[in-house]
Amino acid sequence: MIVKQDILGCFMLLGICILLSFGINAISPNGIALQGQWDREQGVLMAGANEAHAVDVMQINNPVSVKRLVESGKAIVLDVRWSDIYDMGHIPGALNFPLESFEEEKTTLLSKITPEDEILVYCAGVTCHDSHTFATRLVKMGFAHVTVYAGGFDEWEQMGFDVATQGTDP
Amino acid sequence: MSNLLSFNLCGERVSMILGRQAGIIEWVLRLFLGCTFIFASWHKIVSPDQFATILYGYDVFPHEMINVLAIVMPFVELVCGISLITGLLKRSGLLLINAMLVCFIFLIAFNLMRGHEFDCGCFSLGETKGAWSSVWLLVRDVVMLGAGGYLLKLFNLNQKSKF
Repeated sequence: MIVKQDILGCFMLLGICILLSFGINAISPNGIALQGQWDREQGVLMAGANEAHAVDVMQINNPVSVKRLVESGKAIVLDVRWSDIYDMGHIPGALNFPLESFEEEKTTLLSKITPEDEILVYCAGVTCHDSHTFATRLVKMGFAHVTVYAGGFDEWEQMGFDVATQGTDP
Repeated sequence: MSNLLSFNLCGERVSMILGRQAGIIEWVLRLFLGCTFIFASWHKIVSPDQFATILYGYDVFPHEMINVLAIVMPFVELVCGISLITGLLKRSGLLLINAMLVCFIFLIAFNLMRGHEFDCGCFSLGETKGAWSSVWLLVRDVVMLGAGGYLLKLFNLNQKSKF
């Protein structure tokens, strides 16, 4: 039998949870914003960092602009998906630096890019926020011209643009 | 007279053994449900951003609510699990656990019925999708709800026997 005391206890526990969760979220480096970006039209879908750790990263939502940028050769394109997925198909000329091995490959990465370079980062698609996480790390390291391609490889492929596979890259 | 006395003593012993057995079952169930919920909460607390993406994948929550749920829900699981194991407000903790299990069952069943694939996000982030996986999740949650319901019954029996 559920009694009044049990219901009061539930409210007490929920109160503790609310205080604890918002408190820890506010100070945690992994904390998220109170409202995320869940609109596909607006770019990469993600929870977003809390105010204390938020970093503004530019996004491109137009695949044609991305194609133009890639073809101009002005930007260094970084593919942050797993290596085996990258080998199956990627944007021509893109360098592979999976987010998971960011720390291990940091030295190699820094030998290929400079803070003045224009950098374009992408991952699988609009629901993948690895590109955003990777770009945020670069911005925190002092790279000023980092842009995320929100649509990612899925959109690139769907648009019918050129795809490079292992060994077909120039 | 002596027969009646020995019968009474025997009855008391049987009820004592049954009471001890019920106590052991209660402890096992409390540990099982408590540990399960604490374990399930951990990765969500560590990676709330990934948990929020998983909640988005369920395609049932209003977008304004996703982040708030991703922040609060793991702590509800953690606090209820701790309450069940430590015994502090254990009945309330169990009621919340049962309520969460009912919600999980409705969510999984709803997505299963409309053929919507999703990541569970229950014990790890990025679990496999698919109809069979959802059916398994449903069975698992129903079993846990059964355990939760039985535990509530044991709590009620213990409360009655105290009075």
